[in-house]
Amino acid sequence: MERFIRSILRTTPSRVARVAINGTGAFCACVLVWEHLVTIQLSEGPSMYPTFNPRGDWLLISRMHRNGKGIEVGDVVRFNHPTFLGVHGAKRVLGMPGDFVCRDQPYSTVAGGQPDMIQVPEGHAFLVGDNLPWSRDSRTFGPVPLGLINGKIIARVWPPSKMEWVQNTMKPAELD
Amino acid sequence: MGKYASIEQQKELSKGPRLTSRWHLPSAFSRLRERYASLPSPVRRTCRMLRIFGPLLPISLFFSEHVAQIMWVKGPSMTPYLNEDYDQMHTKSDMVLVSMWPWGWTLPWQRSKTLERGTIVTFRTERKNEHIDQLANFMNFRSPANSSHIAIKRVIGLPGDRITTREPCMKPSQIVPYNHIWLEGDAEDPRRTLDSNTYGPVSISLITGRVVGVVGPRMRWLDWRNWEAGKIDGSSPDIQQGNYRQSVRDRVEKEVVQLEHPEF
Repeated sequence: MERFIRSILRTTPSRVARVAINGTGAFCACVLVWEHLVTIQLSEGPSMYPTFNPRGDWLLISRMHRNGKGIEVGDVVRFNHPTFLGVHGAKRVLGMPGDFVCRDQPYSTVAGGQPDMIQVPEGHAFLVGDNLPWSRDSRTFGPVPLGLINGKIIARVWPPSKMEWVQNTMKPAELD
Repeated sequence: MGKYASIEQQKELSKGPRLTSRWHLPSAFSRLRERYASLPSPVRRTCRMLRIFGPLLPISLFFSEHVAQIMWVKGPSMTPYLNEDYDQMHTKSDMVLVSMWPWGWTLPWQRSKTLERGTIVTFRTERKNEHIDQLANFMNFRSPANSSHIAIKRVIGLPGDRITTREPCMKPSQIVPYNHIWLEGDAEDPRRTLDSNTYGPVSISLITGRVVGVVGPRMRWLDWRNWEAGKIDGSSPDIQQGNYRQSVRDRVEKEVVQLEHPEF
């Protein structure tokens, strides 16, 4: 303690500058890791119900899949909401550019209830929540630009009893 | 003699209370320090330089992502405002200063992006024939093989405006929805710009930055108020005749729909 007080009393402008630059560097490095590698975030809402708890789960998000890089059909992605500013959503990718998807009514309880299909345009993804009647997704606001996708959800980290990897449930069947 | 202390006692008294503690760092740490001190001096000098310049790398990356960045404009879509003499020299491209602080002069948690008609913005798009070149791809950690491209356009309509569209658009008019904007290039010929007339209103979340000035070849600041007045400085005949691009402003009906901000 006494050493600490003495070291404070011995401050010089160069020491202050050094501490400031080190602190700013550490802060910027943390922000860069947070924005480019991993983010841990609380996600709430009923739209992904059987997969995530509507009361809130802490999710591990890989930010390396920003802008739709390496995203496949069936991945759960985090995206900037196209109609609400500064809001993020988490949904499952149902169609990538060029895929054909059923054009369902918003909040419909069945998949494929309508006879017509649409082709997902270039540079867009069709996102749908797992809880069909309680999800505001591409059935409401249409295909989402890949540039709005800012991460792929790879795991649930909290609560510890439900810690697990998020599975891609729409992989094609593998037959020997 | 009895009332005088012995020499040993005097020595003990003159020391006073001990000011420095005898506590030492863990031995592993001090052994590391010793090993560092025994390194040759060029190595130690390099280590010291790294210690000084190490924090500057994340700071500069952070600066280029969140404060300001230099970009190069490619293509004819903003002619004659940017890339003034594109018709004469196709290879020359303007160097612009882009402010990456999307909140204007407000604080981040107030969540109000200040956008005005006439602002020139950069935004993310998936189209490959778009019109801005980044300083360096590694600065944005984007692989060129699978990158999302940055385009540059002018904000023509804000949420709630009704736009009378021009040629490639299939609808005669379009009301800009909430949290979207209408972007167009400055080119007179609609075939020379790929903008909202092709891909519709653009979500505000896709906007990455605001162009605040041109660094080269002719240095100048850009101000959105010049757009409303139709006055800009330049040598091209379009600019010289005054009332720059009044036809574009005439196609915008401002605030036709009062959009309420939906609660989330």
